[in-house]
Amino acid sequence: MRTRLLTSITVVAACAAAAGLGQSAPALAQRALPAGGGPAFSHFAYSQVQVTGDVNPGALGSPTAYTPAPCWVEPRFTGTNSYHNGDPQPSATGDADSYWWWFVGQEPALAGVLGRIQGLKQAVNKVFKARQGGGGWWWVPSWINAGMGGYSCAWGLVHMLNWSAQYLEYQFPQQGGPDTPGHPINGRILADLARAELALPAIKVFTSPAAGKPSDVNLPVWVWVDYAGPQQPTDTASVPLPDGSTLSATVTTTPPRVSVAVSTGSARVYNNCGATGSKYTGEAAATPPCGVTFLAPSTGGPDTITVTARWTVRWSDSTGDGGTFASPPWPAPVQAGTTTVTVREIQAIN
Amino acid sequence: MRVRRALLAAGILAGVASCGSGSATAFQPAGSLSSAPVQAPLPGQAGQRLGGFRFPSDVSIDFTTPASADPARRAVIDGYQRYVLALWAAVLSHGKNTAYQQHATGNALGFVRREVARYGAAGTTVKGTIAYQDTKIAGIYFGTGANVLACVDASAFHQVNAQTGATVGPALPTRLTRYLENVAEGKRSDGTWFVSRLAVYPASSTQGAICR
Repeated sequence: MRTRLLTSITVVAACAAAAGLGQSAPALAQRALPAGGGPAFSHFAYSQVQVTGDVNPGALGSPTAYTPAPCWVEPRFTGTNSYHNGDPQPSATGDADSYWWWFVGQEPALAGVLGRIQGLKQAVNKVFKARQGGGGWWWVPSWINAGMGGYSCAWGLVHMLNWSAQYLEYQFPQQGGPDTPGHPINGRILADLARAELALPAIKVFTSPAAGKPSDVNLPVWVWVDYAGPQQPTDTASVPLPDGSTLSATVTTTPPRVSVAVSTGSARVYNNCGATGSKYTGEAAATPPCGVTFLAPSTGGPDTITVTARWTVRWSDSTGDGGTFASPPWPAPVQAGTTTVTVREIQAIN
Repeated sequence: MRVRRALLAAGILAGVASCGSGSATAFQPAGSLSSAPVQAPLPGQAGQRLGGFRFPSDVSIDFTTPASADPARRAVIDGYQRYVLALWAAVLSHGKNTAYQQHATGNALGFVRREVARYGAAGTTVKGTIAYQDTKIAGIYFGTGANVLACVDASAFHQVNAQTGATVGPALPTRLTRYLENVAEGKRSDGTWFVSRLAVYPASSTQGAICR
């Protein structure tokens, strides 16, 4: 009976495909931003991952930013969300059954004919009905919803893993392998997502003499910075697990270390800057801990002072694992600012 | 009974997919695996029909990126180029050429259908050259998913009056005169690739800046 049904469906589908019948697939699900509770952001499709804290919501979508593993597998639907009466609904957000129908709609040979395959709805419903009310969870691919990389990764993942329900797995899924992204969500993946969205504060550079005012040869220029945000930003990525617990990874930063560099070799640079540099104390002849003394006048335009704040970024997850982020591939955790100063020769007064 | 056995979809997909890819009307554009620039077939060139459709002589669809020496990567690019040719075959035939149904799904299929609808009336068509440049594979995932980028220059591709040949406007919406096309591809069981999703970014946008 089952074989006959399969054959029948296949033939009908083939004929329908040849006829070019049309049916559009449900739209891709997008998670809504959580209501209230401070900055929270999700750039992910079909994901329960949340990243909260000092985050830069545009980081993952930036074409110039480093993107960590673009897809992974995570628990998405509970057993009680396997199937509902009236399924499949034309929504990709509802339950495991709906998810299956959304993903199968991406299969080229079926995109236009799913609704015409006799018996398919009943067959698929049966699978998900059998799990309705169960204590387990459906695991699904999730991906970074920026560009096409995440979706491509998820597509490759589900076709490689050979899951029992094709695009979903009711049991804990197999690993994707050590050198491939997309394995079940873990602390390292969460840490990568948190690191990718971590917002290091921009810095504003101040000097004495102030920007726009000239300085003199052998006169120390004091340098300090302000941060447009927390000096030690931190954020956390978390995902709920089927056992009711939450897996999370927190990214933390050390106090920043500020350093000064100048565009000329005719200068003495003081780089005992700490986290904020050294504000002018009023002692014009004193040597600043953080600053520069130009030894020659500017030639061909003002000299440039570049100030860099550098952090060390670490992660730790709720299981006790942790580590750092190698650079490359991760961008160096720095922020830089510049200012210019025109240095004059002190004129002797006769 | 196990879910795997109960779920018929795997068999369904395999059956239907093989039907689609093995069809006698399968889309076979000429030259899409060549390392030389690929142009749409010209009239009178035998064997360069696209499901019975010939590209007119005043239409040129150029792929200017040399083909990869790696067969796996070449197959990915070929899937993309077949999609592109099928798109324009559908437009030029006012939807009569349906080869695109084998090469596009998801919102890529929607994109083709929208363009076909724009040229649904026989009174307008396209003319000129559209160039697909700097085509590169951003990633191949698990051997069955791929991400492809290409810079599209449609500045010399126009919507024209089919009777007089007079230019009516740009072939694509104005913001897409030059743009980054980013597609997701999937691999069929027969080893060929199709476009499953598509995103376009005008060169004037941050995302499309690499195509300026």
